[in-house]
Amino acid sequence: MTDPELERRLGAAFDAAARASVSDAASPPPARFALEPAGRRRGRWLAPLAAAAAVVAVGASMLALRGGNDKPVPAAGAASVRIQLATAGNQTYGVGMPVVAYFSRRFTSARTLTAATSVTVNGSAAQAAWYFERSANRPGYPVEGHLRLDGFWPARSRVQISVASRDLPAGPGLRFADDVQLSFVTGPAVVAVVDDRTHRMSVTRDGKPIASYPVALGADETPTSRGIKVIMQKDASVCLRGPGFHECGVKYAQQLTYSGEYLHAAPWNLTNIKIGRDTSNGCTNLLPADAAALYKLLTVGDVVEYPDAGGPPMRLASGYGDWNIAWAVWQRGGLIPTT
Amino acid sequence: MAHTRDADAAVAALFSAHRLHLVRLALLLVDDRETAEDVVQDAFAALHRRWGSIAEPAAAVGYLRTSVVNGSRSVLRRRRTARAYTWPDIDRQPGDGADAGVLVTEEHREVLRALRTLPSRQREVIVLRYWADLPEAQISAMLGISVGAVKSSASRGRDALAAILGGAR
Repeated sequence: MTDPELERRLGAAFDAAARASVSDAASPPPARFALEPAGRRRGRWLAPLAAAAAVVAVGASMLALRGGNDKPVPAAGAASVRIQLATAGNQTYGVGMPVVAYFSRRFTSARTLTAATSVTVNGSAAQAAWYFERSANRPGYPVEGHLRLDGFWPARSRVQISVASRDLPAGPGLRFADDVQLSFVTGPAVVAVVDDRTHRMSVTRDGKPIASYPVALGADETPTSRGIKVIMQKDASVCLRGPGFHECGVKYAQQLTYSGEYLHAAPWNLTNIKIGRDTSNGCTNLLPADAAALYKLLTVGDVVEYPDAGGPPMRLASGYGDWNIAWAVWQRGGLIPTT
Repeated sequence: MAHTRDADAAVAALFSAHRLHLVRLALLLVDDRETAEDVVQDAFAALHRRWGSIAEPAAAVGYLRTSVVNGSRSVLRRRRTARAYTWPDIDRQPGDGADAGVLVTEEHREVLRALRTLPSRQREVIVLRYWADLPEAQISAMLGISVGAVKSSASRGRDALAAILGGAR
């Protein structure tokens, strides 16, 4: 075995083990560093300092948490279901952005949660519904819930969400421990469609075509998943790693799934992009100049559709898989009934 | 106390930005998540105590990484008589969640089992070099050994791993 091959195997194995044990989506635990006596583990910490630290940590990691972890839940004899909102507030998002929350245990009824949820768009009430799936995206929070309307959010609008669920029952012997508040605005309606037959991505803004780029998708062994995805995160440069590959400095990366499908520049793959041969590990490869233009064009929450890609269908918790579920099905709540 | 407030905000920002990476680093050096979290918390506690003597955030990150490596080594040393190095996490399959990209395959487990057999110095160098992607000079400064010793530890560790893994290929 050559040194580079060994090094690649080491990097991939270490990374897989580290990432499998500590998920990317894990929320930071309460900071215990503040004035903690040396050598004392899981000891007392000074609450005000640590709470201040936790607020900074949470804000910076794009979590908008209300009713922090350190607030006592009133003893009521019922086990508490904590709610962590994963969607950051006061941002501008694309029209496909779902509201994502994690729940600390498998609860059995979301009827009260639904009743306690109010959504307004530009001040007018809108009909939104929750849908739940089991999720491994956040340790300690086995249920993931998404809140959305029948269709995409209206473009260029202010969305306000309030869920007054604290102390409401979540099924027999269970109650919610948190409220949720969130507000954000939407930008223009930007939708990209990737055609795996013509190997082109076409982008529209408010219904008008604005750009079209050649792309290469996942190879037969590692196909790109099929369905409607949403930009989850943007990184000017990332390291992409997985079994058998490790590329650092990958430019203009826009994330579409937790498993690591991205839109990105692939300067090593120019010929295959130009002739339309699918060779990637599932990512959508773009010519560098196109990837840079697309990076400027798209915002977190914008929609990217793969109607005919060769991979497995996109699920809710594969990323922001919300738009692959029909509204009639969505309204029933999935894992946890809402009606 | 202005100093305390500055330190709180600065250390909290570092905590948010670097905790995940440091926990993963510790996890590769020790053997379980809880110990790894503890080692990282201790590193941040120490940084907080010494904030006054650390000039800039860039230096703080290096300080944290060094603390994590040293802390991991102390934990293993304290424990050595009690039990051998084990890695419960690698044999656990993730549930049916969406994170299929981080499935730990049999090949990965094989590499990690081989890593366990290395002496701790070699294991540290290998993890810092091939997982954390640190240059040899930085590893040398972190571990307090010469660049030559980093090179030879990396080379011996690589040879040992190749010998264990090579047979399977």
